[in-house]
Amino acid sequence: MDELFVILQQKKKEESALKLINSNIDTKKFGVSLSKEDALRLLEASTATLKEQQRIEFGEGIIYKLIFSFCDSPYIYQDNYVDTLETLQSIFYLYKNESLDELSDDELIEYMKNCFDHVCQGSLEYLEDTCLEAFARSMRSKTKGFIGGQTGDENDW
Amino acid sequence: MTKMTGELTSYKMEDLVPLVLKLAEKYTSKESLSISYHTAEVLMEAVVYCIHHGQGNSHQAYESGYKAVIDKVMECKKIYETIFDEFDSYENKAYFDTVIHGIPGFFMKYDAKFQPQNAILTFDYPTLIDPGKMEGVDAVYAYLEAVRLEQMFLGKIQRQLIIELLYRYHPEYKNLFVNTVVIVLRTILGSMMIGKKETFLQIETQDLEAIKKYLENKDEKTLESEINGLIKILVDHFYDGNRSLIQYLTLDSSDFSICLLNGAKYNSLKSIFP
Repeated sequence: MDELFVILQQKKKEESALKLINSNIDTKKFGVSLSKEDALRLLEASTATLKEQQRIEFGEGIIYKLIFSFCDSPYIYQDNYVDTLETLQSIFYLYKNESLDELSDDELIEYMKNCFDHVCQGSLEYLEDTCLEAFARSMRSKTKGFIGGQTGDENDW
Repeated sequence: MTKMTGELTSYKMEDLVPLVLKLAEKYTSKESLSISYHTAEVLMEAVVYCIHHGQGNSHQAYESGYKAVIDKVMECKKIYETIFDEFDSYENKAYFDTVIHGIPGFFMKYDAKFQPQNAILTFDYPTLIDPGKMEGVDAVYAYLEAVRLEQMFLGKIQRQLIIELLYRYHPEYKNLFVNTVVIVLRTILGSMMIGKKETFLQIETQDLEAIKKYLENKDEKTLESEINGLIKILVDHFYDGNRSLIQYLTLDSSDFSICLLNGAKYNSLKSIFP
């Protein structure tokens, strides 16, 4: 599978850096943007995380969805923007595995964003170690509370 | 990786990757932009399995192979329908469960798109072919064909005689994972070896002596060839020379010849002919 991984990653990297920088057009109004170095750093981190979590990514990659979901967070600003995205990306793949791929990207991101902006108050550690840990455990025990976003009982997880 | 990978020398990994990605998109319904290594491996095996059944460049081979897999499932269904109506498990639980409960499960759960290499079934009742050496629908097809031939073979013999023989073989026969045809066929062949025409499904003590005499000065190859000859005579006479049946029954010839020679050598023929 490593060979497949390398082919996919090489192909992706060339197109992705430019696309990431283009996301600045939408994120600048929230006071955050990426430089070329930032974009390359995020892509390298993405490759490392995917390898670590033993996953293969296709399509445009999850970083775009994370950028567009989190750029308006009150807890993200230019100084912590790249670091936060890098960690969010790593958390995302970790919990994609931990939830046994039972939920879609959008569902997981929506839950992450909701927790990050509210109960976690911007703490990535709390998001990873408490909220998502409990959420993944709940997923594995077949709780259906997550379906349709986090609209059900808040205590369900 | 699927067992067939080694045969696909004309396709490179780069040819297969777009097919795997396309399949992965369908697998996730585009709701996920990533899959685990394990899922990717399963999907790669699915692509390789279909390609093995198709022809042309990688894309054409996959498409035609996928269609061939579906067609083969339909063929399996046809064979199963012919077996099902008159299926007789001869009171063996494993035989009954595998064919009556197991096979329909295959038709309900087989996933030709994302896991065509997975036959799902465990094939508890052993036939003379080993479906474990094959994958996916190929294994099920071969197994069903074996069951069809076995039913054809046993169907021409009086049921009560078969049941009596099987219970002589072992009082707990119905709970054993044994092949019915082997027990019946070997007894018939034993009778043929000594020219016994009456009660051919029962080998008496004096018959064992005659069989032992028949085996004298015979080596394994000669005996195997003679057994094949007897099977041909049997099938020609009672089954219109059905070639598939001859091929199937002769799969036991080698084992049977070794059992006979050892039985004669160690005076244990009784265990072969209950």
